[in-house]
Amino acid sequence: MKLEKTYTYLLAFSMLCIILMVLGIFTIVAMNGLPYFWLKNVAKVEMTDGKVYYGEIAGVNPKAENGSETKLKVGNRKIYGQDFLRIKDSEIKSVSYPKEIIMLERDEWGNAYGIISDIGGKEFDNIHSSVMEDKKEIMSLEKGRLLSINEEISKLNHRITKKSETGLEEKLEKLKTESAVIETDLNSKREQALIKTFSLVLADGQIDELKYYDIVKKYQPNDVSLAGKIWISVKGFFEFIFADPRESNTEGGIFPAIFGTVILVILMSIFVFPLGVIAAVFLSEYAKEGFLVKLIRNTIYNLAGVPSIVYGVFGLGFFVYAMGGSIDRIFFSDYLPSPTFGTGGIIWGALTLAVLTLPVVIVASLEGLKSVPHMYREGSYSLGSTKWEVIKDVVIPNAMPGMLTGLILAISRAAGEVAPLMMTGVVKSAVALPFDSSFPFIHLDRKFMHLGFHIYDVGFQSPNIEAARGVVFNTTLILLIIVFALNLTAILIRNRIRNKLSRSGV
Amino acid sequence: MMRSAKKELINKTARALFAAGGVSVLIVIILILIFLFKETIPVFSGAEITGKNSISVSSKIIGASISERGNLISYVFQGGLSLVDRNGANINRFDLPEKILSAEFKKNTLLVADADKIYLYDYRYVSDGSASLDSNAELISLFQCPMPKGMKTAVVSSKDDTSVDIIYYGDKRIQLIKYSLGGNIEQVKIDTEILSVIKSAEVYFDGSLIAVSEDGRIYVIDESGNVSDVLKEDGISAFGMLTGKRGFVVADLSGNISVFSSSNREGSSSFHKIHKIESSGKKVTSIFLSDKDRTFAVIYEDGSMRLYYSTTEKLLLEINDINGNMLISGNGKNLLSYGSKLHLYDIKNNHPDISFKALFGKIWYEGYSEPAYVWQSTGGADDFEPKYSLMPLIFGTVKGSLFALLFAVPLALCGALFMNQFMHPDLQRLIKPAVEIMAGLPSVIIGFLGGLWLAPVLEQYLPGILLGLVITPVAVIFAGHLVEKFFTRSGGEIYGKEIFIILPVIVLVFGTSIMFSNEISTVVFNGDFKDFFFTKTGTPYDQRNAIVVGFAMGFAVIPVIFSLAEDALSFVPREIIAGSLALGLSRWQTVSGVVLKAAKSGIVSAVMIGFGRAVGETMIVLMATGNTPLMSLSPFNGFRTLSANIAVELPETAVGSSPYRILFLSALILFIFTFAINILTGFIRGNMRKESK
Repeated sequence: MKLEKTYTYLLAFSMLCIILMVLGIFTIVAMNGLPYFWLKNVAKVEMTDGKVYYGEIAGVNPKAENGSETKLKVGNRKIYGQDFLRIKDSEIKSVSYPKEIIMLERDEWGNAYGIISDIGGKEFDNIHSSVMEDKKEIMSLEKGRLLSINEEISKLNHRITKKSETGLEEKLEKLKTESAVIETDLNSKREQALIKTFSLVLADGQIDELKYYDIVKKYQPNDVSLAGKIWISVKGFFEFIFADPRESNTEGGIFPAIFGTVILVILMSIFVFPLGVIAAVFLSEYAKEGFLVKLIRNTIYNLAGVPSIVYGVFGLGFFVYAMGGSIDRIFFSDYLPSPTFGTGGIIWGALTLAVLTLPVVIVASLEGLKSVPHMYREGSYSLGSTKWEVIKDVVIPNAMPGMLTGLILAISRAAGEVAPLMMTGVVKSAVALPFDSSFPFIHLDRKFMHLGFHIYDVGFQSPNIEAARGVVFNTTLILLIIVFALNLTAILIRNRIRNKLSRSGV
Repeated sequence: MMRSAKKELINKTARALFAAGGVSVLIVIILILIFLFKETIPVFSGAEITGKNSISVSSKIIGASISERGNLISYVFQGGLSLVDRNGANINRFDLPEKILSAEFKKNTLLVADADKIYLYDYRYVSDGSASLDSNAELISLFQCPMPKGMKTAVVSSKDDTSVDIIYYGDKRIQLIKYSLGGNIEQVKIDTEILSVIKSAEVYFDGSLIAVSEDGRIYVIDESGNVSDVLKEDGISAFGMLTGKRGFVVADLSGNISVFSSSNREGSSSFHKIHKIESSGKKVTSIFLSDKDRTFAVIYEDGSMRLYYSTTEKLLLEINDINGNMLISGNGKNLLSYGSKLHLYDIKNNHPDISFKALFGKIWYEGYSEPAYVWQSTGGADDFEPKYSLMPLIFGTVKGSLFALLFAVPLALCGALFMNQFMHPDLQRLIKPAVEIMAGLPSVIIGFLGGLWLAPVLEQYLPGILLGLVITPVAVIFAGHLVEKFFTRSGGEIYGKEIFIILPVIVLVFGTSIMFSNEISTVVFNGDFKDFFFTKTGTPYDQRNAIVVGFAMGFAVIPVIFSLAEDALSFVPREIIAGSLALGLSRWQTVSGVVLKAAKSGIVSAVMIGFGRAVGETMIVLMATGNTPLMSLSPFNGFRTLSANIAVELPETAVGSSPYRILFLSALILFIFTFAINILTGFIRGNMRKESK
């Protein structure tokens, strides 16, 4: 045995381990997340002692203490107290999959399994869809007009009591009556919707009276073809992206988190991109190599190694408390002591991330600027352009791919960065989105939800982590896909620039 | 060609704009540093006097009190009580008995004693509702009773809505009596004789009485009246109970001040001298303690006063010419001295609880059996003693980083070396982006998988995984040799594509060892590894432990080290390698003898940067450890790092408070440390580049 080969194989082993780990991350996340979209068959389990269960078989543990066990998701948490049940395999008499078993996704209390006997399938669907439409209307009224009226009322109240403005009482009264009218209307609508119920026969014969209003979706899993199941899974994946969370984030979708992340990233880009590009152009085109320029360049490179939590601390102390506090004292002094900008908000999160990603944008832009051949500049000068014109018309357009790479990398970083946001205004569940239809449309002081924080919060802070696994793994999957796509794009653009650079021989 | 003036102007404006942009980046960086410093520095300042009001009083003051926020002062004189504001203007006046000998305010009560009777009042400051500041006071008589026989002094020890406890002591006898309010029924809880003359007494948190005598003995009298003579000092001149009642301050005859507290070990409690402040040569006449924190005022016989903080033993403030007694207001921002005159001092004393020693040294906290490094910034009660040692956090940071490096350095360096020197170029083009993608993975994802996926898996299959880590490389080497021996005539054919041979070997061997994990643990560890580990070492197995962090954070650090090391390797000039090979050295001899030597400094700097990254990593440690600030060397225990500590505590910390500033200090430490590492490696890499040219 040659020692030399041994070493080589050890090195190869290390390299392969790294690759396997990267692939492993993607596989683990996908394998743990995606099955949640699959519509599982609901088994009817008959036990030797005569008990009957309906439930999804969630796993088998052959090495349990008292022999092999099966984990059954029986749902109906409101009645049984918990979602999962462990039964001994030795006591199972038979397992069958009757077509008539129904799985109901609910707003609260998780899934329900059972059989609906008092009403036909078609009829059920008709009533359900009409109730759902009423529900949609109620929700949109509640979140739309009623919310904005109440906001206006509190503003008016504030003006009357704190600023002692007069002549507003009439307006206030008018709003109050409108709000009362809407509310009574809402209440009667809701009552009408809530009154409609049906009964679900559970496995043990118990009858559960359920409201159509609480049912999100009805499935008959054992009666769905393979193609149907695939279609439902794909639909489920998109619903996950576009739906609101339910049951304190452990079920439903993650739309507010995605939306918050997108707005945050856009705001951050508005701050960081121009500043980063300007700084890079200054360093590359204007600055003469001297002490100051060297200092700036070195600090930028070194800043990339500063932990993100430090930026968070800076963001909290400087942006939130110092800047936000001053804004409150100057512009919102009558609302004090309750802070408007002097507390975490999306603007402060965006600014903090802008400072954090500034080195990324500058470094990538510098690389892009370096890739612009000197001949281009010289050619332009020789045609009589001023320096500004050369930069504007020749240098920046040619360096744009590099600058965009920087922006993409910054966005990817911001999408996954959590620690600084925990200090500057991210929340587990935002009351309202930072961007909506009420004036002034974009609310910079609002708190926001964020994909990365959502993973941390749902995965580690929720009371029922077992129930939240589906949401948290799929949130991770989506963040992983976003970050992967962004990074891949950046790498591809950058490789093209580097090729160009090596071809041009600079 | 002539350029127009307008063009020239635009050109100049653009220039100025770009310069401003460039410089503003520098400003941002400096701003961060200045800001962190600015928020941190006040921590190390002592207390100072910011204002002083003197109020002249016509009669001799027997007792006094100051309101929570220090804006109202009450004082007792013969036959009455006056309430004045901070400028001495009269607000209210109440009548009290004539010929009083003593008057003491304590927690909303006023206890007045004359030669043979005591009078107890409820006395509290009240606000008129609209303002948050107190604006008046109420005096309500609760009861009066004769002083028990032989007793000289009465002190209120505690009071609630239905009852009040009063301590009485005479020369050699001490009593604790509980009075029910309204009914005025008394119940003697303790009544005991003591051998020496009692100087002062207070109730300890566990209900026992602590009495000190002139001759220097400290007696502990438990609730059933048993006296234990626990400590002997060189005479005692002053005594006082700290807030929280878990520690007390004693001054001896030569002026040394000591703080005592008890610790409970295996059911029996013992008292220790937990702090000692050396004498300044003057005799102590009395000690006054704050209700808010562990600040206390020591009055010396020459009329001077020193303000100390118990936990840190820090001398906060010294005032020379006070007359007699010194009260500390409820919010700790005012001092009131009284005697023949009233002096009201405004003081700034924001961070008495922090000193260099408190942050980095071992401190003997109340209730502990020995000095310790502890981080515990908040507790259940208001009178909790905060513990601000950064050492457990620094320890955790170093522990986590080392475990991460232990895992990452060999893999990353070997991997980089393989890719740079041995791998087929086609494969290189594929692998490089993969490592870059790995670098871009958000730490929240890695931490999440570490905590929620890896930790349970590791807990279940630990023996198998450990075995797999050892035997897989061995198996890989064997398989490699076998393949080359039997399937290829010369090693050249698979050169650069070794990874395809070893991939199935890894999967097979590692997979098998995990599958047999339970069997291994039955055979080697007598059943369960966790139980085995606990019985052998006595430390419990935490599910989220240093090994999990090592893997997870190692994963985050690998691409950093890998890329930088690969960078360093590619700076080694190809001519040297070619020369070495031409001289007849083998591929491996060239790598180990030439390439590695040439790239040594770059590789060292890669590891350093990796270390810097691990030190500052927040989300991974937050999610993959239990975040308990322990100082345990065991790889199966969790820890808390500086960065995770900031993330956990800062959002809930009051602006400007001591923990707030300490968290800023933690951030500053992280900033400076990582910045320094980067500057240092910058130099190394700069030199490397120059040399390679």
